[in-house]
Amino acid sequence: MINNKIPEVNDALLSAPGESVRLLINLTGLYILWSGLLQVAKDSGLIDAFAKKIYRVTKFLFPELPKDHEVHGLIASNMAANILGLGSVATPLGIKAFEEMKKLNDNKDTASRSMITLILINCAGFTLIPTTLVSLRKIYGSEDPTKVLPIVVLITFFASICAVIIDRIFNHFNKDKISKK
Amino acid sequence: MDITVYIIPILVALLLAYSLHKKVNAYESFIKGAKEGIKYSIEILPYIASMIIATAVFKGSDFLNTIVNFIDKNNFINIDLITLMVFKPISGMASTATLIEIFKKYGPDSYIGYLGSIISGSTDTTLYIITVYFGAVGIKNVKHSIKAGLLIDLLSFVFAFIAVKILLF
Repeated sequence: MINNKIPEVNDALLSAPGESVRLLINLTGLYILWSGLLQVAKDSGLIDAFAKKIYRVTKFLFPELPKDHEVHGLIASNMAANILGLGSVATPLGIKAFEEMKKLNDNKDTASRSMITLILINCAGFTLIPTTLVSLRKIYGSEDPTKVLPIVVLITFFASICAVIIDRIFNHFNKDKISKK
Repeated sequence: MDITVYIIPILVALLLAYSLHKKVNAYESFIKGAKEGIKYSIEILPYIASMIIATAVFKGSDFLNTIVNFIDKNNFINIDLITLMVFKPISGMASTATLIEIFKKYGPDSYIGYLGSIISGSTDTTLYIITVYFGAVGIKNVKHSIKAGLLIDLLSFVFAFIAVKILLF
């Protein structure tokens, strides 16, 4: 209204809902694929085996989760998918991990501590292969498309460390609030 | 050839070989998991739809341009980078579109091009992740995750500026 963009806003309002359904149809296909393959991995014991291997790391990041639970394997798989730059694989894994965390959480409406930790690690987005970025740079004529790679790896690594620290700080203050009540 | 093309097929082949070795009925397991995949996508549809509609209206109205031009009359801040930083946490599609505009306008190897590349590579779609993960399992109270997530994005933006200044220009 301020800058005479009413026709554009009208277009956006009318086309965006359809666009979101189209996006979801694509996502559904990917979720079917990866949730299906994840179930294969679970039933063949791969996730449990991975959970045992990675337990030291996930125990440090998620101290409230019980030992020998498959959720450790799901978390680790989610992080591995992100590190390899496979965003569409990471999402169903993360959701699955969230479902297990919800089962372990007493309060079914509220985010648990582990959920927020996983969200923040995902946000920091530690990655070794930013696939889309490199291919976009190539398409738009960069002379050295992969030059940004080491910098992105470095920044996301630091951001992940910051994420863990920020997570701990927030938890610390939240704990104070609860104990004061 | 890009090595990244091999990752997924190799992972899938290894997984299927392993399940064969463990004598698991891979087909039945796949169907069971696939059903859950459909369940998730139906759970998250309302959240995704509302987010996409809001983003589209916001983008269409050019509201961001108006605000930035109002505050910054001397074009001190680069509007395209601001747009990228605003859209990156919300939507992968919108931020990719913005990055492409930046590449077309300034070239991927310019200062702005590098900064845009690194900003978009170093952060993830924070609000989208929060919406989808919590939405899929039906959690209403997300506590401090939005605040903390955006703080991490902000830190990554600062790291990106510093890294480009020190390492590239």
